[in-house]
Amino acid sequence: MATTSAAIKRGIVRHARAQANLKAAIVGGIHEGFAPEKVKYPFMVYGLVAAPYGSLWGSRVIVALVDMLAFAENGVDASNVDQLILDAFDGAQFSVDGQTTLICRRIADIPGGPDVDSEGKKIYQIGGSYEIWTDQTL
Amino acid sequence: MALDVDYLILALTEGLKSGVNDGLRLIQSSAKELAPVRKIYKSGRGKTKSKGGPGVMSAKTAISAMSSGWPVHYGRQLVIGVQHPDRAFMSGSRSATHRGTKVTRGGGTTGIERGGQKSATQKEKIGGSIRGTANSYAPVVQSPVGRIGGQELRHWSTSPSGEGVLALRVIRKPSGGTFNPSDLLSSRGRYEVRTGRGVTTNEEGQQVVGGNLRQGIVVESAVANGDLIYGFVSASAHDPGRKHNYARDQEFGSRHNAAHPFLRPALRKNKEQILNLEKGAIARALKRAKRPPTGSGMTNRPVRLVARVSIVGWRSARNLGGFVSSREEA
Repeated sequence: MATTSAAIKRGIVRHARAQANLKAAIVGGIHEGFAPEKVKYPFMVYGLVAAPYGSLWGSRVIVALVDMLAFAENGVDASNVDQLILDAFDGAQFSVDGQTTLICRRIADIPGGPDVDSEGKKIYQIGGSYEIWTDQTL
Repeated sequence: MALDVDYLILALTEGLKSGVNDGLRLIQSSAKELAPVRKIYKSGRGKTKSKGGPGVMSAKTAISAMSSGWPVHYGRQLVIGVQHPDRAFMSGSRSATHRGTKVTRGGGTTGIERGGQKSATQKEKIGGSIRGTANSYAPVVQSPVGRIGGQELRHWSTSPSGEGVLALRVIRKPSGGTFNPSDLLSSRGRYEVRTGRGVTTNEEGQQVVGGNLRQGIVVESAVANGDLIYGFVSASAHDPGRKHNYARDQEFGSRHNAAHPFLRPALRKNKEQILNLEKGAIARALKRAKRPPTGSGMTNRPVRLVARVSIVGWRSARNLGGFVSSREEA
Protein backbone atom coordinates (compact mmCIF):
# COMPACT_ATOMS: atom_id res chain seq x y z
CA MET A 1 0.00 0.00 0.00
CA ALA A 2 1.37 3.40 -0.96
CA THR A 3 1.84 5.91 1.85
CA THR A 4 2.19 9.67 1.78
CA SER A 5 4.20 12.33 3.54
CA ALA A 6 1.95 11.80 6.58
CA ALA A 7 3.90 8.61 7.24
CA ILE A 8 7.10 10.64 7.20
CA LYS A 9 5.69 13.02 9.81
CA ARG A 10 4.70 10.09 11.99
CA GLY A 11 8.17 8.65 11.57
CA ILE A 12 9.75 11.95 12.66
CA VAL A 13 7.71 12.11 15.85
CA ARG A 14 8.34 8.44 16.62
CA HIS A 15 12.07 8.88 16.11
CA ALA A 16 12.18 12.05 18.22
CA ARG A 17 10.33 10.36 21.07
CA ALA A 18 12.71 7.42 20.91
CA GLN A 19 15.67 9.70 21.77
CA ALA A 20 15.87 9.76 25.55
CA ASN A 21 17.99 12.92 25.74
CA LEU A 22 15.77 14.85 23.37
CA LYS A 23 12.58 13.66 24.98
CA ALA A 24 13.83 14.73 28.41
CA ALA A 25 14.92 18.14 27.12
CA ILE A 26 11.68 19.13 25.42
CA VAL A 27 9.47 19.62 28.44
CA GLY A 28 6.67 21.11 26.34
CA GLY A 29 6.61 18.18 23.94
CA ILE A 30 6.50 17.94 20.17
CA HIS A 31 4.01 19.93 18.13
CA GLU A 32 3.11 20.23 14.48
CA GLY A 33 2.80 23.74 13.06
CA PHE A 34 2.77 25.69 16.30
CA ALA A 35 2.26 25.01 19.96
CA PRO A 36 -0.73 26.04 22.08
CA GLU A 37 -0.36 29.09 24.28
CA LYS A 38 0.05 27.35 27.65
CA VAL A 39 2.72 24.86 26.63
CA LYS A 40 5.84 24.87 28.77
CA TYR A 41 9.23 25.76 27.36
CA PRO A 42 11.31 24.35 25.78
CA PHE A 43 9.38 22.52 23.13
CA MET A 44 9.88 21.31 19.59
CA VAL A 45 7.82 22.24 16.54
CA TYR A 46 8.04 20.59 13.16
CA GLY A 47 6.33 21.45 9.91
CA LEU A 48 6.30 19.97 6.44
CA VAL A 49 7.39 22.55 3.87
CA ALA A 50 7.14 20.58 0.65
CA ALA A 51 7.06 16.94 -0.38
CA PRO A 52 7.24 16.52 -4.14
CA TYR A 53 7.00 12.99 -5.53
CA GLY A 54 9.42 11.53 -8.01
CA SER A 55 8.24 8.47 -9.92
CA LEU A 56 10.62 5.78 -11.03
CA TRP A 57 9.88 2.44 -12.63
CA GLY A 58 8.01 0.55 -9.94
CA SER A 59 8.87 2.90 -7.11
CA ARG A 60 8.19 6.38 -5.80
CA VAL A 61 10.62 8.71 -4.14
CA ILE A 62 9.34 11.43 -1.81
CA VAL A 63 11.72 14.26 -1.08
CA ALA A 64 10.27 15.89 2.00
CA LEU A 65 11.54 19.18 3.35
CA VAL A 66 10.75 19.50 7.04
CA ASP A 67 11.48 22.40 9.38
CA MET A 68 12.29 21.43 12.96
CA LEU A 69 12.47 24.23 15.47
CA ALA A 70 13.26 24.51 19.15
CA PHE A 71 11.49 27.16 21.24
CA ALA A 72 12.91 28.12 24.61
CA GLU A 73 12.99 31.00 27.06
CA ASN A 74 16.69 31.51 26.54
CA GLY A 75 18.98 31.13 23.61
CA VAL A 76 21.20 28.52 25.27
CA ASP A 77 18.31 26.12 25.92
CA ALA A 78 17.05 26.63 22.39
CA SER A 79 20.50 25.93 20.95
CA ASN A 80 20.92 22.84 23.13
CA VAL A 81 17.60 21.39 22.01
CA ASP A 82 18.44 22.25 18.42
CA GLN A 83 21.72 20.35 18.80
CA LEU A 84 19.85 17.33 20.18
CA ILE A 85 17.49 17.46 17.20
CA LEU A 86 20.48 17.62 14.89
CA ASP A 87 22.10 14.64 16.62
CA ALA A 88 18.88 12.69 16.33
CA PHE A 89 18.05 13.40 12.70
CA ASP A 90 21.16 14.35 10.75
CA GLY A 91 22.21 11.22 8.90
CA ALA A 92 19.61 9.12 10.71
CA GLN A 93 17.77 6.17 9.24
CA PHE A 94 14.41 6.03 10.97
CA SER A 95 11.42 3.90 10.15
CA VAL A 96 8.63 5.29 7.99
CA ASP A 97 5.52 3.20 7.47
CA GLY A 98 5.52 1.71 3.99
CA GLN A 99 8.67 3.55 2.97
CA THR A 100 12.41 3.18 3.27
CA THR A 101 14.37 6.17 4.47
CA LEU A 102 17.18 6.88 2.06
CA ILE A 103 18.56 10.14 3.32
CA CYS A 104 17.81 12.41 6.26
CA ARG A 105 20.09 15.38 6.55
CA ARG A 106 20.04 18.94 7.75
CA ILE A 107 20.37 21.25 4.80
CA ALA A 108 20.12 24.67 6.41
CA ASP A 109 19.72 26.61 9.62
CA ILE A 110 16.59 28.66 9.99
CA PRO A 111 17.38 32.23 10.91
CA GLY A 112 15.30 33.84 13.60
CA GLY A 113 15.61 36.41 16.32
CA PRO A 114 13.94 36.37 19.71
CA ASP A 115 10.18 36.84 19.76
CA VAL A 116 7.81 37.84 22.52
CA ASP A 117 5.03 35.48 23.49
CA SER A 118 1.53 36.31 24.72
CA GLU A 119 2.75 36.72 28.30
CA GLY A 120 5.44 39.17 27.27
CA LYS A 121 8.26 36.67 27.73
CA LYS A 122 11.18 36.67 25.35
CA ILE A 123 11.21 33.49 23.31
CA TYR A 124 14.06 32.10 21.26
CA GLN A 125 13.35 30.11 18.12
CA ILE A 126 16.25 28.12 16.70
CA GLY A 127 16.13 25.28 14.21
CA GLY A 128 16.89 23.94 10.82
CA SER A 129 15.51 22.45 7.64
CA TYR A 130 15.89 18.74 7.07
CA GLU A 131 15.63 16.97 3.77
CA ILE A 132 14.24 13.46 4.00
CA TRP A 133 14.31 11.15 1.00
CA THR A 134 12.16 8.05 1.14
CA ASP A 135 11.52 5.31 -1.35
CA GLN A 136 8.54 2.99 -1.63
CA THR A 137 7.71 0.17 -3.97
CA LEU A 138 4.47 0.60 -5.87
CA MET B 1 34.80 20.78 -31.25
CA ALA B 2 36.79 23.94 -31.93
CA LEU B 3 35.84 26.86 -29.73
CA ASP B 4 37.27 30.15 -28.64
CA VAL B 5 37.68 29.86 -24.88
CA ASP B 6 37.44 33.56 -24.04
CA TYR B 7 34.40 34.08 -26.15
CA LEU B 8 32.90 30.86 -24.83
CA ILE B 9 33.24 32.06 -21.23
CA LEU B 10 31.71 35.39 -22.14
CA ALA B 11 28.82 33.74 -23.96
CA LEU B 12 28.29 31.25 -21.14
CA THR B 13 28.26 33.98 -18.51
CA GLU B 14 25.70 36.04 -20.38
CA GLY B 15 23.63 32.98 -21.26
CA LEU B 16 23.61 31.67 -17.72
CA LYS B 17 22.76 35.07 -16.29
CA SER B 18 19.80 35.23 -18.58
CA GLY B 19 18.82 31.67 -17.61
CA VAL B 20 19.13 32.47 -13.90
CA ASN B 21 16.98 35.56 -14.32
CA ASP B 22 14.31 33.52 -16.12
CA GLY B 23 14.43 30.99 -13.31
CA LEU B 24 14.14 33.69 -10.67
CA ARG B 25 11.07 35.08 -12.39
CA LEU B 26 9.55 31.59 -12.41
CA ILE B 27 10.14 31.26 -8.68
CA GLN B 28 8.77 34.73 -8.07
CA SER B 29 5.62 33.93 -9.98
CA SER B 30 5.07 30.64 -8.14
CA ALA B 31 5.83 32.24 -4.77
CA LYS B 32 3.22 34.90 -5.43
CA GLU B 33 0.68 32.18 -6.13
CA LEU B 34 1.62 30.30 -2.98
CA ALA B 35 1.89 33.29 -0.65
CA PRO B 36 -0.77 33.21 2.06
CA VAL B 37 -3.50 35.81 1.79
CA ARG B 38 -5.22 37.44 4.72
CA LYS B 39 -8.93 37.81 4.23
CA ILE B 40 -9.26 41.55 4.27
CA TYR B 41 -12.11 41.86 1.80
CA LYS B 42 -15.57 40.57 2.33
CA SER B 43 -16.51 37.91 -0.16
CA GLY B 44 -19.87 36.37 -0.73
CA ARG B 45 -21.28 37.78 2.46
CA GLY B 46 -22.11 41.08 4.03
CA LYS B 47 -24.04 44.18 3.29
CA THR B 48 -22.55 44.94 -0.09
CA LYS B 49 -23.21 41.52 -1.50
CA SER B 50 -26.77 41.45 -0.25
CA LYS B 51 -27.68 44.48 -2.30
CA GLY B 52 -27.59 42.33 -5.42
CA GLY B 53 -27.38 43.38 -9.07
CA PRO B 54 -25.32 46.49 -9.67
CA GLY B 55 -24.35 46.60 -6.01
CA VAL B 56 -22.54 43.30 -6.34
CA MET B 57 -20.88 44.41 -9.53
CA SER B 58 -19.76 47.62 -7.93
CA ALA B 59 -18.36 45.83 -4.94
CA LYS B 60 -16.29 43.56 -7.14
CA THR B 61 -15.10 46.48 -9.16
CA ALA B 62 -14.31 48.40 -6.03
CA ILE B 63 -12.26 45.57 -4.57
CA SER B 64 -10.44 45.25 -7.85
CA ALA B 65 -9.76 48.96 -7.82
CA MET B 66 -8.69 49.05 -4.19
CA SER B 67 -6.27 46.24 -4.75
CA SER B 68 -4.85 47.66 -7.94
CA GLY B 69 -4.31 51.30 -7.07
CA TRP B 70 -5.31 54.81 -7.97
CA PRO B 71 -6.61 56.17 -10.24
CA VAL B 72 -8.96 53.56 -11.56
CA HIS B 73 -12.00 54.30 -13.59
CA TYR B 74 -14.49 51.63 -14.47
CA GLY B 75 -16.90 53.04 -17.05
CA ARG B 76 -19.72 54.86 -15.40
CA GLN B 77 -20.00 52.42 -12.57
CA LEU B 78 -17.49 53.41 -10.02
CA VAL B 79 -14.41 55.43 -9.42
CA ILE B 80 -12.33 54.45 -6.47
CA GLY B 81 -8.82 54.86 -5.37
CA VAL B 82 -6.42 54.99 -2.51
CA GLN B 83 -4.19 57.89 -1.74
CA HIS B 84 -2.84 60.04 1.05
CA PRO B 85 -4.73 58.62 3.91
CA ASP B 86 -5.19 60.24 7.16
CA ARG B 87 -5.33 58.17 10.27
CA ALA B 88 -7.24 60.92 11.96
CA PHE B 89 -10.25 60.12 9.86
CA MET B 90 -10.08 56.44 10.31
CA SER B 91 -11.17 56.40 13.88
CA GLY B 92 -14.24 57.40 15.76
CA SER B 93 -17.72 56.11 16.14
CA ARG B 94 -18.82 54.38 13.03
CA SER B 95 -22.47 55.36 13.23
CA ALA B 96 -21.78 58.98 14.04
CA THR B 97 -19.19 59.30 11.31
CA HIS B 98 -21.38 57.48 8.90
CA ARG B 99 -24.37 59.71 9.32
CA GLY B 100 -23.19 63.17 10.12
CA THR B 101 -19.49 63.76 9.70
CA LYS B 102 -18.33 66.10 7.03
CA VAL B 103 -14.74 66.33 5.93
CA THR B 104 -13.65 69.82 5.04
CA ARG B 105 -10.43 71.46 4.07
CA GLY B 106 -9.33 75.03 4.38
CA GLY B 107 -6.26 77.14 4.93
CA GLY B 108 -3.91 74.18 4.79
CA THR B 109 -5.48 72.50 7.76
CA THR B 110 -7.96 69.73 7.87
CA GLY B 111 -10.67 69.00 10.30
CA ILE B 112 -13.77 67.01 10.83
CA GLU B 113 -16.92 68.92 11.39
CA ARG B 114 -20.01 67.59 12.94
CA GLY B 115 -22.90 70.01 13.14
CA GLY B 116 -20.50 72.94 12.78
CA GLN B 117 -18.41 71.93 15.81
CA LYS B 118 -15.36 69.78 16.01
CA SER B 119 -15.79 67.17 18.67
CA ALA B 120 -13.11 67.06 21.32
CA THR B 121 -12.36 63.44 20.60
CA GLN B 122 -11.92 64.07 16.93
CA LYS B 123 -9.71 67.07 17.55
CA GLU B 124 -7.48 64.82 19.61
CA LYS B 125 -7.36 62.32 16.84
CA ILE B 126 -6.30 64.83 14.24
CA GLY B 127 -3.28 66.00 16.15
CA GLY B 128 -2.39 63.03 18.23
CA SER B 129 -2.87 59.41 18.87
CA ILE B 130 -5.34 57.21 17.10
CA ARG B 131 -8.17 55.86 19.07
CA GLY B 132 -11.10 53.68 18.28
CA THR B 133 -11.56 50.05 17.50
CA ALA B 134 -10.91 47.97 14.47
CA ASN B 135 -14.48 48.32 13.30
CA SER B 136 -14.65 52.04 13.70
CA TYR B 137 -13.08 52.84 10.36
CA ALA B 138 -15.68 54.69 8.34
CA PRO B 139 -14.39 56.53 5.31
CA VAL B 140 -17.34 58.69 4.36
CA VAL B 141 -16.41 60.99 1.53
CA GLN B 142 -17.86 64.44 1.31
CA SER B 143 -15.49 66.71 -0.52
CA PRO B 144 -15.75 66.88 -4.32
CA VAL B 145 -12.41 67.78 -5.84
CA GLY B 146 -12.77 67.18 -9.53
CA ARG B 147 -13.84 64.78 -12.19
CA ILE B 148 -12.35 61.77 -13.90
CA GLY B 149 -14.15 60.37 -16.92
CA GLY B 150 -17.27 62.29 -16.08
CA GLN B 151 -17.41 60.91 -12.55
CA GLU B 152 -17.40 63.22 -9.64
CA LEU B 153 -14.44 62.68 -7.40
CA ARG B 154 -14.86 62.67 -3.68
CA HIS B 155 -11.89 62.11 -1.49
CA TRP B 156 -10.35 62.23 1.90
CA SER B 157 -8.62 65.30 3.05
CA THR B 158 -5.22 64.82 4.49
CA SER B 159 -3.88 66.28 7.66
CA PRO B 160 -0.35 67.71 7.84
CA SER B 161 0.65 64.75 9.97
CA GLY B 162 -1.08 62.20 7.80
CA GLU B 163 1.77 61.67 5.41
CA GLY B 164 2.27 58.15 4.25
CA VAL B 165 -0.90 56.81 5.75
CA LEU B 166 -3.72 55.41 3.76
CA ALA B 167 -6.87 57.16 2.73
CA LEU B 168 -9.59 55.72 0.63
CA ARG B 169 -10.60 58.07 -2.05
CA VAL B 170 -13.60 58.50 -4.30
CA ILE B 171 -16.55 56.41 -4.36
CA ARG B 172 -19.57 57.06 -6.40
CA LYS B 173 -22.12 54.67 -7.78
CA PRO B 174 -24.07 55.28 -10.99
CA SER B 175 -27.20 55.87 -9.01
CA GLY B 176 -25.57 58.89 -7.42
CA GLY B 177 -25.23 57.48 -3.93
CA THR B 178 -21.95 57.23 -2.14
CA PHE B 179 -20.33 53.88 -1.65
CA ASN B 180 -18.65 53.21 1.62
CA PRO B 181 -15.40 51.31 1.05
CA SER B 182 -15.37 50.03 4.58
CA ASP B 183 -18.37 47.91 3.57
CA LEU B 184 -16.02 46.02 1.29
CA LEU B 185 -13.55 45.24 4.03
CA SER B 186 -13.81 42.47 6.54
CA SER B 187 -13.32 43.20 10.23
CA ARG B 188 -9.69 42.15 9.86
CA GLY B 189 -9.43 44.28 6.75
CA ARG B 190 -10.58 47.40 8.59
CA TYR B 191 -8.02 46.73 11.29
CA GLU B 192 -5.29 46.19 8.74
CA VAL B 193 -6.16 49.43 6.96
CA ARG B 194 -6.47 51.41 10.16
CA THR B 195 -3.06 50.32 11.38
CA GLY B 196 -1.49 50.66 7.96
CA ARG B 197 -0.47 46.99 7.81
CA GLY B 198 -2.78 46.24 4.92
CA VAL B 199 -1.58 49.15 2.84
CA THR B 200 1.27 48.92 0.44
CA THR B 201 2.70 50.63 -2.59
CA ASN B 202 2.59 48.78 -5.87
CA GLU B 203 5.13 48.82 -8.68
CA GLU B 204 3.59 51.95 -10.15
CA GLY B 205 3.98 53.77 -6.86
CA GLN B 206 0.27 53.66 -6.09
CA GLN B 207 -1.02 52.86 -2.66
CA VAL B 208 -3.20 49.80 -2.61
CA VAL B 209 -5.13 47.83 -0.05
CA GLY B 210 -4.02 44.24 0.42
CA GLY B 211 -1.38 42.16 -1.32
CA ASN B 212 1.43 43.42 0.91
CA LEU B 213 3.29 40.13 0.99
CA ARG B 214 2.85 39.44 -2.72
CA GLN B 215 4.05 42.93 -3.58
CA GLY B 216 7.11 42.25 -1.45
CA ILE B 217 8.25 39.19 -3.39
CA VAL B 218 10.94 40.56 -5.63
CA VAL B 219 13.77 39.34 -7.79
CA GLU B 220 17.33 40.45 -7.23
CA SER B 221 18.76 39.98 -10.71
CA ALA B 222 21.59 37.59 -11.41
CA VAL B 223 25.14 38.75 -10.95
CA ALA B 224 28.41 37.09 -11.84
CA ASN B 225 30.88 36.85 -8.97
CA GLY B 226 33.99 34.79 -9.59
CA ASP B 227 32.91 31.33 -10.60
CA LEU B 228 29.37 31.90 -9.50
CA ILE B 229 26.35 33.37 -11.18
CA TYR B 230 23.61 33.89 -8.68
CA GLY B 231 20.44 35.76 -8.00
CA PHE B 232 17.79 35.82 -5.32
CA VAL B 233 14.10 35.93 -4.84
CA SER B 234 13.43 37.71 -1.60
CA ALA B 235 10.28 38.54 0.30
CA SER B 236 9.52 41.29 2.72
CA ALA B 237 6.30 42.66 4.07
CA HIS B 238 5.94 46.07 5.60
CA ASP B 239 4.53 45.96 9.09
CA PRO B 240 4.57 49.50 10.44
CA GLY B 241 5.45 49.97 14.05
CA ARG B 242 6.31 46.34 14.68
CA LYS B 243 9.57 44.50 14.67
CA HIS B 244 8.13 41.35 13.17
CA ASN B 245 9.07 40.37 9.69
CA TYR B 246 5.75 39.13 8.36
CA ALA B 247 7.33 37.38 5.37
CA ARG B 248 9.73 35.50 7.59
CA ASP B 249 7.00 34.56 10.04
CA GLN B 250 4.94 33.13 7.20
CA GLU B 251 7.84 31.24 5.67
CA PHE B 252 9.23 29.73 8.87
CA GLY B 253 6.42 30.15 11.40
CA SER B 254 6.70 31.76 14.81
CA ARG B 255 5.57 31.26 18.38
CA HIS B 256 2.19 32.63 17.39
CA ASN B 257 1.49 31.20 13.97
CA ALA B 258 2.21 28.08 12.00
CA ALA B 259 4.42 28.37 8.95
CA HIS B 260 2.85 28.87 5.54
CA PRO B 261 5.92 28.42 3.35
CA PHE B 262 5.76 29.96 -0.07
CA LEU B 263 9.34 30.61 -1.21
CA ARG B 264 10.87 27.19 -0.70
CA PRO B 265 7.96 25.27 -2.22
CA ALA B 266 8.14 27.67 -5.19
CA LEU B 267 11.83 26.84 -5.59
CA ARG B 268 11.18 23.10 -5.44
CA LYS B 269 8.23 23.30 -7.77
CA ASN B 270 10.34 24.89 -10.48
CA LYS B 271 13.59 23.07 -9.93
CA GLU B 272 13.40 20.91 -13.06
CA GLN B 273 12.27 23.78 -15.21
CA ILE B 274 15.09 25.98 -13.96
CA LEU B 275 17.65 23.28 -14.73
CA ASN B 276 16.20 22.99 -18.23
CA LEU B 277 16.47 26.75 -18.66
CA GLU B 278 20.11 26.57 -17.70
CA LYS B 279 20.75 23.68 -20.06
CA GLY B 280 19.15 25.70 -22.84
CA ALA B 281 21.28 28.69 -21.95
CA ILE B 282 24.45 26.59 -22.08
CA ALA B 283 23.44 25.10 -25.43
CA ARG B 284 22.78 28.54 -26.88
CA ALA B 285 26.08 29.83 -25.52
CA LEU B 286 27.94 26.94 -27.14
CA LYS B 287 26.22 27.65 -30.42
CA ARG B 288 27.19 31.29 -30.24
CA ALA B 289 30.74 30.51 -29.20
CA LYS B 290 31.24 28.42 -32.32
CA ARG B 291 30.83 31.60 -34.32
CA PRO B 292 32.76 34.40 -32.56
CA PRO B 293 32.05 37.90 -33.88
CA THR B 294 34.06 38.80 -36.94
CA GLY B 295 36.95 41.13 -36.24
CA SER B 296 37.15 40.06 -32.58
CA GLY B 297 40.61 38.66 -33.19
CA MET B 298 39.59 35.48 -31.41
CA THR B 299 40.77 32.20 -32.77
CA ASN B 300 39.28 28.79 -32.40
CA ARG B 301 41.05 26.40 -30.09
CA PRO B 302 40.00 22.91 -29.05
CA VAL B 303 38.30 22.82 -25.65
CA ARG B 304 36.45 20.35 -23.48
CA LEU B 305 33.58 21.83 -21.58
CA VAL B 306 32.29 20.72 -18.21
CA ALA B 307 29.40 22.80 -16.96
CA ARG B 308 27.98 22.29 -13.51
CA VAL B 309 24.64 23.77 -12.61
CA SER B 310 23.45 23.60 -9.06
CA ILE B 311 20.46 24.89 -7.24
CA VAL B 312 20.66 25.74 -3.58
CA GLY B 313 18.15 26.96 -1.07
CA TRP B 314 18.33 30.24 0.74
CA ARG B 315 21.14 32.26 2.12
CA SER B 316 19.91 34.33 4.99
CA ALA B 317 16.86 35.76 6.65
CA ARG B 318 16.84 38.61 4.21
CA ASN B 319 17.07 36.34 1.24
CA LEU B 320 14.61 33.66 2.12
CA GLY B 321 14.64 32.00 -1.26
CA GLY B 322 16.85 31.82 -4.24
CA PHE B 323 19.21 29.68 -6.12
CA VAL B 324 22.73 29.75 -7.33
CA SER B 325 23.92 28.60 -10.67
CA SER B 326 27.58 27.86 -10.93
CA ARG B 327 29.69 26.93 -13.88
CA GLU B 328 32.99 25.22 -14.22
CA GLU B 329 35.00 24.72 -17.31
CA ALA B 330 38.07 22.68 -18.01
